[in-house]
Amino acid sequence: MSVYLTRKYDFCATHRLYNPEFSDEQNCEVFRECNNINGHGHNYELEVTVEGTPDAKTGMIVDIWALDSVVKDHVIQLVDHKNLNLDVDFLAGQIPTAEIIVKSFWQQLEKPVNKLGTAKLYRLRLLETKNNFAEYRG
Amino acid sequence: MPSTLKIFMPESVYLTRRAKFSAAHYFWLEDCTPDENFARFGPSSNRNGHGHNYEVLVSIKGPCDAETGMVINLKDIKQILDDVVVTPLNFKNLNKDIPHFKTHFPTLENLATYLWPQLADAITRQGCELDSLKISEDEDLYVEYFGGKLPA
Repeated sequence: MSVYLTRKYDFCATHRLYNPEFSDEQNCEVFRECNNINGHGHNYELEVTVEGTPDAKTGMIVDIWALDSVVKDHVIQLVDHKNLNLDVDFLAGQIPTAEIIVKSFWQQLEKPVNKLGTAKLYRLRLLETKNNFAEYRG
Repeated sequence: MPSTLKIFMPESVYLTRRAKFSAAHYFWLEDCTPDENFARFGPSSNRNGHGHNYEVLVSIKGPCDAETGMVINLKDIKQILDDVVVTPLNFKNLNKDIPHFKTHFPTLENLATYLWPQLADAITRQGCELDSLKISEDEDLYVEYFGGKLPA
C-alpha cells in the first residue's frame, strides 16, 4: 500500500539562460529577458515526494529528519545563495532552466534518498515562481 | 442659511496593487576582506549573486470618484507599476544593472526609499496620494515605508 509524502524546501539563487553556442541575437530571441548578462534571481521551492509503505511501528514511510539531511546536504546547501551558472558543480556546462535543474537534482538525490531504505524517491517538483514549475519522476 | 457650515470631507479609501519582479543581488563592502564580508552578510555576500521573487505592494489613498467608484483608475496604477518597478527591475541584477545600487546597498530598505519618490510623483500626477509601500523578498521578510511619515 503505497503512500506518497511530500516535503518542501526553499532556496534563493540567481541564474542566466543562454547557450554559449548561440549568437547574441539567437540568445535574445530564444531566452528573451532571461538572457540578461548579469542574471536575475528567484526564490525557488523544491518539493520532494517519496513513495513507501507506512512502517508498522512508527506509521511513517520515511524519517523526515533523515530526508531533510539528505536534501540539504546534496542539494540545498549547494544552491542556496548561489549563482546557478557559476557556483554549482553539478550544473556546470548546462543551461539552468527549471527543467534542467530538476533533472540534475534528481541525479543528486535518487541514490541517497533511496539509501534511507524505507521509501523511494517518486517525484521532484521545482517551482521558479508561483506560476512556473518543472516536475521530474526519473 | 444653516447655522453650522457643514464641510464635505470625502472619505479616504486605500487601494493596494501588487507588482512582482525577479532579480539578483548581493551584499559586499569593497573595503572589507572576503572573511569580513562573510561575517557580516553570510551567504548573501556571494559576489556571483543570488536572487529573489520580489513583491511590491503599493497603497494609494484617496476619495472614491463619484462617477467611477475608484480611488485611481486600475489601468493607470498598473501602468505606473510597470514603468517604475517591473520594466526597470524585472530579470535584472540590482547591483550591476541599476545605477542607484552601485552606490547604495540593494537592501529592501534602500529599494523602498529608491522607489518611493518615483511612485509618489507618478501617483500624484494622477491626482492621488501614495500612502505606503511594502516590499518583500520572500515570505519571511518585508519592509514598509511611508515616505518618511509615521504610519497612519
